[in-house]
Amino acid sequence: MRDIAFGQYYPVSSPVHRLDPRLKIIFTLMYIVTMFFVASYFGYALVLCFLLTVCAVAHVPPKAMFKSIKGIIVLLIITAILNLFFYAGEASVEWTWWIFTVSPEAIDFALKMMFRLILLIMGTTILTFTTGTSELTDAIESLFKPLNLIKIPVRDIALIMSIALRFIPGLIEETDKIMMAQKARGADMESGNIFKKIKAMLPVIIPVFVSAFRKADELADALDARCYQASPKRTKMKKMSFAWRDLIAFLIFAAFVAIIFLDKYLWGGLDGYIVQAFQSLMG
Amino acid sequence: MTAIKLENVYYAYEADEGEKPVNAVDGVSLEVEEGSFVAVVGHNGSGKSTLARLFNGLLLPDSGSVTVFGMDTKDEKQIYSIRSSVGMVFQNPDNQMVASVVEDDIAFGPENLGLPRDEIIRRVDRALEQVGMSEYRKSTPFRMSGGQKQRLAIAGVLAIRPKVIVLDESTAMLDPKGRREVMDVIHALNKEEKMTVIHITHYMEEVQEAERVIVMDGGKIAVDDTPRAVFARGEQLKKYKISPPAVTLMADALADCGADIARDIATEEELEDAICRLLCKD
Amino acid sequence: MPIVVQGLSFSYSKGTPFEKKALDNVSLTINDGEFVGIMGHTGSGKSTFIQHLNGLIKVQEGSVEVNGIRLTNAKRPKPDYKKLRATLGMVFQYPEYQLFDDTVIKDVSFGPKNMGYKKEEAEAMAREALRLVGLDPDEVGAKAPFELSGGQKRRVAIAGVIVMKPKILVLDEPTAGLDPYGKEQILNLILRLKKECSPTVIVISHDMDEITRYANRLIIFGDGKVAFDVPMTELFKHGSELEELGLETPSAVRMANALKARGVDLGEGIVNMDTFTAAVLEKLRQKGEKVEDFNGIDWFGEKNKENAPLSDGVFGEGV
Repeated sequence: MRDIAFGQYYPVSSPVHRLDPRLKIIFTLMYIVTMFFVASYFGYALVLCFLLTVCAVAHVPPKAMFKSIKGIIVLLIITAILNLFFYAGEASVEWTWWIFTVSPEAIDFALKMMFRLILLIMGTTILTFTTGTSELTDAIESLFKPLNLIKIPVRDIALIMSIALRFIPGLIEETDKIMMAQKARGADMESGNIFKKIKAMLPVIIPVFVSAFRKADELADALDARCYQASPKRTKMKKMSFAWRDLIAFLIFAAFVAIIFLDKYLWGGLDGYIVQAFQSLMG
Repeated sequence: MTAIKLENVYYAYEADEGEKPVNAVDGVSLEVEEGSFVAVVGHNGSGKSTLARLFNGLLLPDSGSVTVFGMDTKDEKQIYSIRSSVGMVFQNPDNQMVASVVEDDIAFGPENLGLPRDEIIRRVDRALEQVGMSEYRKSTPFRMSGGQKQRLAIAGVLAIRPKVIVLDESTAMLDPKGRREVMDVIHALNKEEKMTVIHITHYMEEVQEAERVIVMDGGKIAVDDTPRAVFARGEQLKKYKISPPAVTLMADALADCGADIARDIATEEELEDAICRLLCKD
Repeated sequence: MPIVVQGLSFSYSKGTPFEKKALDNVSLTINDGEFVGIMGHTGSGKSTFIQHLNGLIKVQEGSVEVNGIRLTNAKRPKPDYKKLRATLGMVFQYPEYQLFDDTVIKDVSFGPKNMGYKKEEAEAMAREALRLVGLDPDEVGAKAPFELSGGQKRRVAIAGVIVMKPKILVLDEPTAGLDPYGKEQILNLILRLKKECSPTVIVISHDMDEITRYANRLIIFGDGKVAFDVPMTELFKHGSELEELGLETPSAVRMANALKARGVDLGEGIVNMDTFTAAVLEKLRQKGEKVEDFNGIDWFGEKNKENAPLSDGVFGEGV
């Protein structure tokens, strides 16, 4: 449980770490949208190169980025299999064995889906690797500031998010501890069917909940003692402002997005040749 | 000048249905001088923590009054001036931090006060310096030792620039090294910055370092004196379910068995001297 | 049968960039009837060590043997974990946080039910366990755990472990967070449990004065290794080593050494307040002074009271 890589912040100093977190959130959103427009293997290769370059500039070991896929490996395999055998599009050739039918187009489609998923996860982890949770919540608070106008308490919501993120590692540790304590009393949480397992988890879940409430109680006192809501105009230590590097980053990112779109709409997928070559080889 | 003044204060928590509420603080009157170092002791349920929460208006008295530098805690308009004058550190360092990065957490208080940005930065710098944690500014507290975390919690309180700091069993969950670190920090604050310290604790060695000890029992102040005078009342203390420090207990035991040793011994050196007086002669 | 640990090594997140060595080739034997105190800083490996003893952590390297049940990194034969956990009871830090059931009796009988006892048997065992920890099952049994005081909750949690009558009892900082009176009661309870139910006791603590009062052997962990392992009676010879490990010398040992330097030799074997006081009185007696018999320091004035909660036989046991 302790090995969850997702959301781990790499506390180093780099140009990517120093970028305005709001810009990084916007980049990430744009990146997610762009991923659905990647049309060719050339495009995926380009995205990968882009991510590796960002990693290098961010001083984050690429290994850490690849590790983030570990958590979704089961999902990846399932989608790949589904796409491979239940491909609904047109097929040039079909190879059938028992009830399974596979075509080059299905392989192509499944591969692309897999790459898309992998690159989506890897790209978004770069955001969490290079942006501290408090920066993230600050940025979200700033981006959603307009919602204040319609009486949504953006500041409070941002604080709740930041606190939730801060307490997660502690609660995971607590869960580990209580699980060990109940195992030491002979609890068996691994065998039996799903209902048995859920029932077996109650002696862990209940104490963790109680503990979360106790923490919340103490935290509420601590917030009050530190003058929470003292001033209607809460200030911020960290000022977010666009710098030159943000503009440069924006231009680079825009160029990257442009190439992906050009590949899809103008060049029609640069690796059409590769697919053709593949087909003629198999055919 | 008087920092905190309690006049005939009563406080009871809400009782379960059908049960009579019991006064957690039961008629306490008390004055804490500015710049003093006061220890508060008493067994669990003696009313110490309730008392602490009355000092900065986290709880309001059912009757009687609590005034902080002349401000009544019942005055809603003053509550944030009161809370920024009386800072409070709690027992579990993990449950009082709001942010995942040290400097963001310490900035929380000044941000709430709506201070300008450069003032916040100045205060964060200074607070980290005061607790000796400047190099951890950008770190995350998750993997730190208990002593370090609690020093950060103190820094978070110092950043609101209180005149009084209340520590509610803030050393209870720490190992001896962490306890020493925290005690060194609060002694420095008291001596060098003339900060008023109210330290609630179970550790008698920490009490010995205070100027004044308040013993709570059943929501009332049972004893209010210097540590030496308090610990000399061995038998009486046992009634309040607290025990004097180890050396005083040993001196007591020796005296009980007929040895000619004073009962108000407070340090190891004093006990060694007293034993030496009996045994070193030959 | 003793606990035999041989060449035990363990790393967290093994094989990742976050790999951290927690135990490094630890070998030791703990015999039946011992009262062992374990100390060491956070991260010294002491918690990892005790978690190995009842199989909560899988052995990576080396072996652990508890009462003949052997744990290694081999997949087969699968050790009998249920039997192991009934033999070696483990009380975690702040054990009251693990209480979950709606009544005390149900919570305490959780262990026996897991071991396959019927409800009635399990509840009978729970009642006895509650009596052993000094609670009246008729009074608290039907209550919800959260209705109890802090000290009572901790006793209930301990009852939930000793309900299986483990021959070995391991406690991780059993007095953490309690007030001095609560600490004294828990320590006395541990002595009673040692006498009446679990002859071998292993306690992790940060408090040197506490450990020297009760344990008869001290093991100190440092950097995943056993840095120090001596019988309590020889502790006074090792003051400087303790300081090197960043631990305080017990105050009694410190004072005895200071007095020795001033020409008063209180003799060997001084480890705690009781032995120190007794030695001083013995010296006075030798000098011809009239002193009364000493029977232990009276912490809370309850030693000689009839209804003293669990303070029977407190002193002179460990040493």
